[in-house]
Amino acid sequence: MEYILHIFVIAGIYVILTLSLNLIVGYTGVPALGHGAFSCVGAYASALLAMNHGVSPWLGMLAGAMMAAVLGFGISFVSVRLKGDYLALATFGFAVIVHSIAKNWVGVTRGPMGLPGIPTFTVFGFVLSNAWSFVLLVGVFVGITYLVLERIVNSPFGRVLRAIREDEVATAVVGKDVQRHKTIVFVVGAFFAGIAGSLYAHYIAFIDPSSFTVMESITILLMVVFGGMGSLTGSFLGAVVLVVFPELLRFLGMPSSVAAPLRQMIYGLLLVLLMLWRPQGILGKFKWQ
Amino acid sequence: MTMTHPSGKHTNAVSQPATNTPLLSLREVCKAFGGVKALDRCSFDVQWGQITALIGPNGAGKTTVFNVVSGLLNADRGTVQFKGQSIQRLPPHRIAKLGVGRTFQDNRIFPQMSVLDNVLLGMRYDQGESLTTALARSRVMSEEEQRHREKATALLAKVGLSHKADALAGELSFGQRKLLEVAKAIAAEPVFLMLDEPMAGLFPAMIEKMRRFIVELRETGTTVLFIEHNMNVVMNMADWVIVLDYGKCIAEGTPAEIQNDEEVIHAYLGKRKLHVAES
Repeated sequence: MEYILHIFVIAGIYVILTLSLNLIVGYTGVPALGHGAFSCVGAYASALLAMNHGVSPWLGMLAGAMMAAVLGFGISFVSVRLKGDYLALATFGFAVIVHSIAKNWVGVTRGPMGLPGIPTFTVFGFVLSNAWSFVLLVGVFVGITYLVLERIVNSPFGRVLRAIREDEVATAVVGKDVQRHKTIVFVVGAFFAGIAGSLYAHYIAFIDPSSFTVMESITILLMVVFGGMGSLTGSFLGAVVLVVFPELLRFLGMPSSVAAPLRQMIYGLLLVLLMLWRPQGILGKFKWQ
Repeated sequence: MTMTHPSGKHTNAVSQPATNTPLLSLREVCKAFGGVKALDRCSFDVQWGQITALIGPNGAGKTTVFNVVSGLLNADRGTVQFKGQSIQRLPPHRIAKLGVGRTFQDNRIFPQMSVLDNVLLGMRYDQGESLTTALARSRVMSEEEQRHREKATALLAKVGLSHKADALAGELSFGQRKLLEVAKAIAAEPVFLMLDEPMAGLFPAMIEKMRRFIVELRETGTTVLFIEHNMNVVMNMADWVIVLDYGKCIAEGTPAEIQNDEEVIHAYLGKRKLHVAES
């Protein structure tokens, strides 16, 4: 039972990550590969504040999310100069940098040794320590993320985002500030990624740089693409399926030395098949031209 | 006297200021792509309230003029003034907000969005398009959206696309796309509208529809600058004609004057005389 609840929590965290990346990649059409980096910043900021300064994890989560948002704000300026593949590469590089900092800034992050014993959340003196309480907590944040993003995308503001995805030049000449919209989208997306990172840190109680590799960012992107770009329900589907699916491999009785590479191979194969047959993703409507 | 703007707004028939400043003024504008001079000390004015045609052989720099004025390209040298104020180096969205609308030769509509959404994107929102109103899902947003929806619907009826309002723009025929792009550009109620070959590829009935539509725009006070190769259309519709060749403005005048201008005939049509149908 604990195990199933654990899967729920992890899936929920990935849903938050996938929803927020979908806003950037799926709705606005900005190819960003560094989403894991935002959650890394959120996780480390929140964990370090709680461990070293005794800050409440709630405040730490907010601070971590804000820091991720500031970073998203910075990254959005790269998207002024770079488009398409080049921007994808630049954000990829950004994810590598953040990972390297987490790994090498030993004085603060303890490097590869990671941060053990991260305190958990408390609500009115009640310590959230069992899996059930975390299922509820993550569920609440999934709900908040969904509600916020649903309001953003189903509005005149969201319509401008979809226009940017289709044709930036045509959007600019009807008087929409394309860059401003991209910046907002990066800030909002990074903010929620920061929240997801913080939830993860306080739930697992241990983080190390290996949780935030570039591969992690790619996995989140895969979830977005799999579920469908520009579809919020698709993000739920993509995240849940890709979290649960590898777990099923365990029940095939495979040794972990086989299961782990097999998981990567299946991810890769899935992506290739998807691109061939349904490039817009399972529930997506938008097709890249 | 007031008239109904095609997008539904009541505007004064003549909205020009008392002064004689032209609406748009290009002076010695140069733009080179590598070694090719697309615009070479190009100078001309567009007067308020007129329909001005921009003609010239292929590669004369007509579209480059549009791109420089709408801010997609920065001129290498020279000045571009709109309503007497310099618009050089302003980003495209700022220029659009000053009241400059444009269409593209290659139909830049949003193919994967509905026809109605395309027109709504052209609309100028006050508050309703901001992130905060979206997050608050405020009354301001829904009211403004509702108002714009009604205007957009009326505008679609005007161009004869009502029955396609919910279809994806990408499903429209070529001619319908052209109409939609014009509708999208007009939605913002521009003071100045630049149309890049609005008639190209349209069949005669559609050309007539577009022509009437553009003439009607002038009546409501919108200044129009259009690029066109169809000389019948140019001579019929334009109040003023500007001729570009090799990036220079080589002649300008009324359609009648241009028809008889030796240099234009020489540069634009070789030695032949313009054939213009009587109408």
